[in-house]
Amino acid sequence: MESGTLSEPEFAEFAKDVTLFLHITTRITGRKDEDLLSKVGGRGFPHLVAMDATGKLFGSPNDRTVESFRKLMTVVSEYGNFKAKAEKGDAVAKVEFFIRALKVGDFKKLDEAKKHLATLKKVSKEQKTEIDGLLYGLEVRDIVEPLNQNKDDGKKAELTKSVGKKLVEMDKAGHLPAMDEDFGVFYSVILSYAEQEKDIPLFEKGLEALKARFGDNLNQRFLSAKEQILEKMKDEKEGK
Amino acid sequence: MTPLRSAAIALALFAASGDVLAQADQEQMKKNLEKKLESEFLKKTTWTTDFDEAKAAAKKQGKNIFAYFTRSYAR
Repeated sequence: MESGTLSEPEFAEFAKDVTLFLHITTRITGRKDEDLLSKVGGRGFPHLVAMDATGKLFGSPNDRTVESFRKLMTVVSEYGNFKAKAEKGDAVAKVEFFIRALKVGDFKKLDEAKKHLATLKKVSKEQKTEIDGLLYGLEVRDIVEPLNQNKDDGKKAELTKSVGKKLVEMDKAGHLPAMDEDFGVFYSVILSYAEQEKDIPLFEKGLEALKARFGDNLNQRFLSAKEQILEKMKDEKEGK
Repeated sequence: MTPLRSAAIALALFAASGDVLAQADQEQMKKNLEKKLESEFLKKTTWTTDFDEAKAAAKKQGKNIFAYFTRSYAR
């Protein structure tokens, strides 16, 4: 990447609009901020991350292209701009800031976000649709939490069933999470539930939804494993 | 020399050699950092290498921070 993207003239152009910070993990004892990588959630090298001037984290770019870097920094800029306007009392900016805050993960719990939403005025139809999708994401996180927290393999099937049922209800109601990460979790759990219940149509629907959403970006090993499971389920049904 | 005294001297020498090795390792890490800071890509744009300075500069200029984390030590 250093001799590639970070050396390109396009990157130099992008750099004019941001402050570039380089952190080097050195293994030099006692060096200032030596452990900063782990503090920003990095687990390996290279790690790219966007922050505002206070050091608030805004995640990493989707890939290592300048286009992705720009998209990410636009999110950070918009967040800051709407926050400033919202703090001055601008009602429209308050809604837009709420949307950005949901996107960057400022709200961890659904009830917390709903309480904040209730304080907002002038929410347009388009904003409402966007907010709903983001709130469905928080709902998914709440629903799958018992499954994520579970360390007892003996309870896994029971939890997959109860969590899966709730997600299928959301799916039937068209309550789909807006963010990619939540969408991925949503249908991955549905696939596990469908496999457990031997529900071929539901498994196919979940797999198609993931393919449609992520296309070529869908992990090929994951896709291949799921397609094999589907074939196996079909074979078993036909008594092969 | 008693066996106990010999063992104590051997242990002290072993500890001292460990310190020397650790010091040499640290010197190498510093050299690795210096080499990393001479990388070509750093000459093409302006990078800030101190986190507090980066935040202060971003605040002063009304900008946000794009951070790149890498390492200078070998695998």
